Amino acid sequence: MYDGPDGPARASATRAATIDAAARGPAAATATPEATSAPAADAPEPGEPAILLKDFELVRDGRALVRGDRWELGPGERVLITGPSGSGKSSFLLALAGLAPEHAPGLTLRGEREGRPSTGVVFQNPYAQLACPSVDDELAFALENAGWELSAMRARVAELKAQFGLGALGDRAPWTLSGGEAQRVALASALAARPKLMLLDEPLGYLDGEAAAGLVELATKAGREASWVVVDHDPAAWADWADTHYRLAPDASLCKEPIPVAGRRAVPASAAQADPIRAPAAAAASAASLPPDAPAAPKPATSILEIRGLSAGYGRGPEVLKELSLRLGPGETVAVVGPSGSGKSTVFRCLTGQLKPRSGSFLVDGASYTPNKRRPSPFAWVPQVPEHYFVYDSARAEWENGAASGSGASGAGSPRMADSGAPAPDHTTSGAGSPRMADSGAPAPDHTTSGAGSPRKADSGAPAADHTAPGLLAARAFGLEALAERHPFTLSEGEKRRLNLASALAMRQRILLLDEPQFGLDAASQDALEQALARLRAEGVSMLIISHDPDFCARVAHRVVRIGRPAAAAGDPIAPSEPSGAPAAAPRAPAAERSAP
Amino acid sequence: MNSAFKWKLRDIVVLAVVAAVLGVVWMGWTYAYELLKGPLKALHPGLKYLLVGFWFTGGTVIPYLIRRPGAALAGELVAAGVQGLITQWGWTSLLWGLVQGAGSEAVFLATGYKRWSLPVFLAAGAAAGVFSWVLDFFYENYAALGAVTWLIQIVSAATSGAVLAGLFAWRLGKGLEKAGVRPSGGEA
Amino acid sequence: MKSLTFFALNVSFVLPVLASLDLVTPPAFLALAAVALLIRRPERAPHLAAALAAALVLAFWVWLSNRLWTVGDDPARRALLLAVRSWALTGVSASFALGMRPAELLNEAMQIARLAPRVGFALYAALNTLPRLAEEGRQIDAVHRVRLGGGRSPVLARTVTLLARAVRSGERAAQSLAARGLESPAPRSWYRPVAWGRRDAAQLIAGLAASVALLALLVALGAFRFGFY
Repeated sequence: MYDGPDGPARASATRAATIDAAARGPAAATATPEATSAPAADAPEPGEPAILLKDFELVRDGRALVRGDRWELGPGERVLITGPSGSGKSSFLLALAGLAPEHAPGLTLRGEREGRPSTGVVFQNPYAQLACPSVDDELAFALENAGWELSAMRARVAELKAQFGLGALGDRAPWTLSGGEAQRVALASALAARPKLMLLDEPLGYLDGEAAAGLVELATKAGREASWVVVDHDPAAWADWADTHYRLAPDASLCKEPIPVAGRRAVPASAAQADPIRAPAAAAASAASLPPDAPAAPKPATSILEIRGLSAGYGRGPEVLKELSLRLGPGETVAVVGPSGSGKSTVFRCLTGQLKPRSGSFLVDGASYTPNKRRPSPFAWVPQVPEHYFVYDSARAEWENGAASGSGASGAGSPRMADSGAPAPDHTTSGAGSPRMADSGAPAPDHTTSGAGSPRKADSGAPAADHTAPGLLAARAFGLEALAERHPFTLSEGEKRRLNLASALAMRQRILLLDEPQFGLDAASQDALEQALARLRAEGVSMLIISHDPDFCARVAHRVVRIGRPAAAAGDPIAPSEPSGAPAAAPRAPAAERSAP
Repeated sequence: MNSAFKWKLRDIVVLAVVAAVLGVVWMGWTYAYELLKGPLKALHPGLKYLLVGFWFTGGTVIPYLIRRPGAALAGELVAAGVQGLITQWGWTSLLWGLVQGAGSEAVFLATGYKRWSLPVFLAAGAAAGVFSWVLDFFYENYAALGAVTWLIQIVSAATSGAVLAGLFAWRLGKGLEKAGVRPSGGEA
Repeated sequence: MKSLTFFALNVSFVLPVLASLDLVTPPAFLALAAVALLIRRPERAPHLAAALAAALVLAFWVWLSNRLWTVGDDPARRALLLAVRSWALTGVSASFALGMRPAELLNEAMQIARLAPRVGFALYAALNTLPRLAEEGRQIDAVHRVRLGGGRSPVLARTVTLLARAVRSGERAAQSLAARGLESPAPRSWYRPVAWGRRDAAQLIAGLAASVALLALLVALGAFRFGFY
């Protein structure tokens, strides 16, 4: 059993004492009457659970996501729920919050439920959940809805700002904050009206190491008046904080588990079967750094990519990158590590022609290269948000159509898709599977013509063959073949990222730029990702990876380059999408529990 | 039945966000229109209407996603409002948006907010075009033109609306559905 | 000046411009609008000047295209009238946009004009999403370009991507608003209370009176001509 520093938090005997104190606390602390919509949420009597579910079943569109005979949440208890991505943990939180089914269509919690405490919720995407003109307004929002009196509101807002270190941000608009700041505001805002139940849905998914640790610390300091339920795919971050740990098993039951040792990614053994990729490699791959069978870091006499003295900034702002120099050898994987805002994404922006550097030069294969976003690029760029990469509406079309037709295309006019068979006139589309290339010269109106839905069949024999084969092989290897007809947006985070890599594999470009590929992935998906990267390494692809996770980089890269300066919010990455109440019209295969919830 | 007509909070937010996006996206089309309008008018005064359909998309895309009474009107209005704020058309946008939205809304109203098939969307787009023409009639003194011109204009407007707004919304909506965005309301 | 007042006054400025077809009325009301802007946000003066300059370019195009391609009699005069009106209209719209504070307007609308909080906060949420959406749109475009060798992906693909994410974001915002009690039936209080007072009424009346007076003056002078085209 885990024996942590916070003894009293775990020993049940002393917990009762803590709970007594907590029960008296809120009554004294709340100076103002709070009218809440739920029936009066008093601090529960010690021993009485804050929430009790009996014979419950959480159902979405006829499918049971979570079920059990009895689930109890004690007052002041801190619970961590883990499980593979897409398994329904987030939906469970929505139900606990009372947001289903009114605000979560198709989701219902059946069974008996006792206890409807006042609730605060924090979601994964820091920006999507903030909806007020300024931080001050955001903090006051829950209080306004509860009808607090003005002076009490002002006092509480000041208190929250002090407690969460938001003092200087009062007048800022939420969309201008950094991810870490925004998430702190979200947490503070949720706690504002002193709810009895706090629900956090993968709150760290978008934060780098430092911001994540900060948030966990704030959650720890927040006290015991409320019961907390945190859903996360990585139990390590919450190991010190949690009292109880449940895992959502494939059979939809919530199993109590021992709290994992704080440290890197403890992968429960039973998670292995969720992902076909993991099966052969088993647990061995997770712990070690670069596996022994990886090609040795080549000693590049010639580099395939060289960056010299790159300096860049946005507008007239300060320099985000200063004199960065980097060499990437053929077949080498180099990782660029640094905290949010240190300019990592800026490197890619410069390489792909989005941002003009203030100084510096690039060499590709020894020859000088000037990025131009209107011309074919020697890079295949997989962005931070996997959905941005998708152009087609089926997974199959994605991996079949890989990437650009390569550097053969000339400047003006539209490069044709390499596998589009007979040349198609500009204004027709042969079906949803193939994008129609708009001729970038003339301002043509976008007449859409016939051809609904179906992915384009391989109507062209020979020209397609070049690209189909590697794509399909990659898809098989990454365990995506079963998802062929699914729309890429309906896949789970891990599947989306692997699909990105599968189509990148079918490319002709030999340099792959990966932006935070490990964002928001649970342990199993991350292992699968690392295996996919290993495969790419084996194929001799050169990769430049950006990440804020040094452990991940150590495991997948030959070399790690650190960038230091933590700058302001400029250039903050766009958040990956969270799993939504997605509907997949297509019937789901049984193994698809890891797909989008 | 009633629950299909009642707007949820999520609907209102989605309306605001999508309509705002449309309003911004229209900006690009606005400048293209200004450029192309002249030469088309030279061919025939009626033909400029072939381009207008894109601006009725507030009244077709929004109802596809939110199948409730008022979606077309509100969608078109909000989008027009945002467009008005950022382009030179300013206030006129709102007025035209109101009329165009009313046209689309009339079609959905006529179906009792129960039919959400392709022909309905085509009709909604066409109706927006026709209503828009009527407003133009008064605003731009079409009485001076002949009936033939009117016919060409009306047909162009209706066709443009049907294709660039109705069909476009249908295609876009289907694409979004496949991507996991479910329309809310309707007969749900 | 309250946002609501500014809004109402601008409506009163724009209507005459829309409905007039002479050389004096549009610029006159543009001047009035400019005055209103300067009262409300004097620091915006240079921006207005810049906008008016830009509007000249557009007005020129209006003039040119009407001069060359218009129907009806006396194209020269009509072109000039339309150009002047277009310039004034752009100016009034710009003046409104520059003087506007959307957050403040929504706050007042909810408290004074009884706008439903669900609608008000939904609009706030949209205002918050837009800037990031713009950046996201650019990023999608960039990623697609690199993937497709420099050309652009079809509009439909980009639109679906952007809108799907926008809708998801909106749904999240709605959940967050609801989770913090927006839909609760309990009476609501306000962190930034505003109230409509006598001074506001006075300002509104004065502004509207100015509008009406100006119109009356123009009519009396025979300068005003009603017309759309």
